[in-house]
Amino acid sequence: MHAGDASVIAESLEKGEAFMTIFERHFATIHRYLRRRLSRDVADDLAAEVFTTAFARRASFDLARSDALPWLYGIATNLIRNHLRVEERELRSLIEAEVDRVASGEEPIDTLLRSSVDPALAEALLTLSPEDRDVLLLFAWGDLGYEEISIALDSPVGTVKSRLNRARSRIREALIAGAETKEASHG
Amino acid sequence: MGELTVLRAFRTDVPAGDELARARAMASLRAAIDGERGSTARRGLRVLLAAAVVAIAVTGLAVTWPFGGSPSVLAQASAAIGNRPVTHVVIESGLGGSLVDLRSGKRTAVYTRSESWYDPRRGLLAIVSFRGRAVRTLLLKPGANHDQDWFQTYFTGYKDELRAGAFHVTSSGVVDGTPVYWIASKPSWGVSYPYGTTVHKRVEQVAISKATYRPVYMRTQVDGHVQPASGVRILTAETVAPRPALFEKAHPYTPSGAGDSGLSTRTTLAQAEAAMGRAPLVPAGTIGALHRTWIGETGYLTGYQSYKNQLVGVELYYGSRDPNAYGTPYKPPFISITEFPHRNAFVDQQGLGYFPGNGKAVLEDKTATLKARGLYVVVTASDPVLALAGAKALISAT
Repeated sequence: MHAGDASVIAESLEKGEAFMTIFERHFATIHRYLRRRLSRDVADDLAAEVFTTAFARRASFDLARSDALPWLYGIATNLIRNHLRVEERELRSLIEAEVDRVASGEEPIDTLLRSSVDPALAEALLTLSPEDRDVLLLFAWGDLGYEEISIALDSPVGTVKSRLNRARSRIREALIAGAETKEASHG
Repeated sequence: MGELTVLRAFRTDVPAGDELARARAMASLRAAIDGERGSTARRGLRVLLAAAVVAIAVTGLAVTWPFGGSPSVLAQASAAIGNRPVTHVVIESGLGGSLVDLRSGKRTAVYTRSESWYDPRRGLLAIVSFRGRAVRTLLLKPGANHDQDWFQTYFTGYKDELRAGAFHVTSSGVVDGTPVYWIASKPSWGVSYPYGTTVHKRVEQVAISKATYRPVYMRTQVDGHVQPASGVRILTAETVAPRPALFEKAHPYTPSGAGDSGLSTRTTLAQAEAAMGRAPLVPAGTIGALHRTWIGETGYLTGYQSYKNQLVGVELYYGSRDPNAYGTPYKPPFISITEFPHRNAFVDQQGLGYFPGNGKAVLEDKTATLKARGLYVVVTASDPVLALAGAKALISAT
């Protein structure tokens, strides 16, 4: 059984090197989350920045919380907000690439990358406010619960719930509309 | 299919957590960790470490030279140094610094001289002097320092790189009138201090006299550019027999890794005076075009990570602060004036570590240090002109 994140971070206040444990535990998760939201180069940069920022601010980590992941997601989310245009550009590029692929009938070069792209969903994500998108994606991709999202975003749980409900409704409506359009176009 | 199911399936197969991204992130974090230790050790003891780096480089030269490039030059350099157990190095650093009379503007070139002995069994002893006067003696005993692991890594890492052939001859030149060969380390890669994300290429360059084959100068190159104020003049570099008496008789000031706590919490001048036990020096609300935007209480540690025993100073900041910055929120152009009522490890580590009184300041690159009305003052700025303007404004306030 290994020490919890809180005790590792507490140790890192005395001995910075201990913070490498936090990196080892959570880098892949955070990088994956960022990679799903942003272009590769930006995601790589921000993944590094999440951990250097976390290290710089580790004294502010609430040691009563055993898991550092919500805190790290919160830092990642703040960093993403400085790159909203990158995220939106990435979503648009996914839509365009998918449309092009379907239109041309050719296999895309990056088949693996694009295979899980749903253009309707990408478009729906674009319509959400950044705050609602953060909540939704932390819930769906970060697997955080209400409390954890509340910690990550430093928002009341009630706000998190209402944002999540609103975002889910928007996504649901967009997907239904997309499916109807697709059906109509196929006759 | 529910919207969450669709959402969770979205972009599940992006390549993530790959080795390159991981390695870069790890390098950034390691640099940040080292940078923090640097705030206590590397930055604080840079004169000492400059000597140590030379010492270790020379030790590496002395042991063996299996390097590529020009073996005859490197072999002769090795022979010139000798192969005794203790390395003795005298260097001059802070070259380019000046003592400035803040009223008349008269400048005198100054530098720090340090003489060091590195004995693997006894540690590193360095005597630092300024304008011919010894100002402090530093001793790092093996195993006695909190940061010993770091020091060990630093020393042996450098030495190992030399042994591994990390240096090669790059060119010829002239340094201080002496014809030299330049040798350069293999590049290392790291992020900018303290929490940057841009990766930089760093190379250490050493000049070896063509006449004696001894090192005479070293400097650091980052991204192909020689770093300002990185030059170190090497007056002596030799290996000698152990001199235990030197270490036993020394009455050193042993740095414990003390440094700034990294915190500056907003306060008022009245609160700062109460905390410091004396009134701070307060220049006008505007220096040049910069307005004072911050009065902060700063904590200085008395020992390595000794958060419970902080000493209090005050920071007066002129210019705008970056609210989104991680780490230091300074946003150029700026002037930061830190005042402290006691001389301590933090104060000693700033600039050239010398605090002249009588309306004078030592200016090195973007840092000015001075003593006024019993306070030790460090002015750091986004450029040397502003650092000097900050120092002048302080003197005007006395």
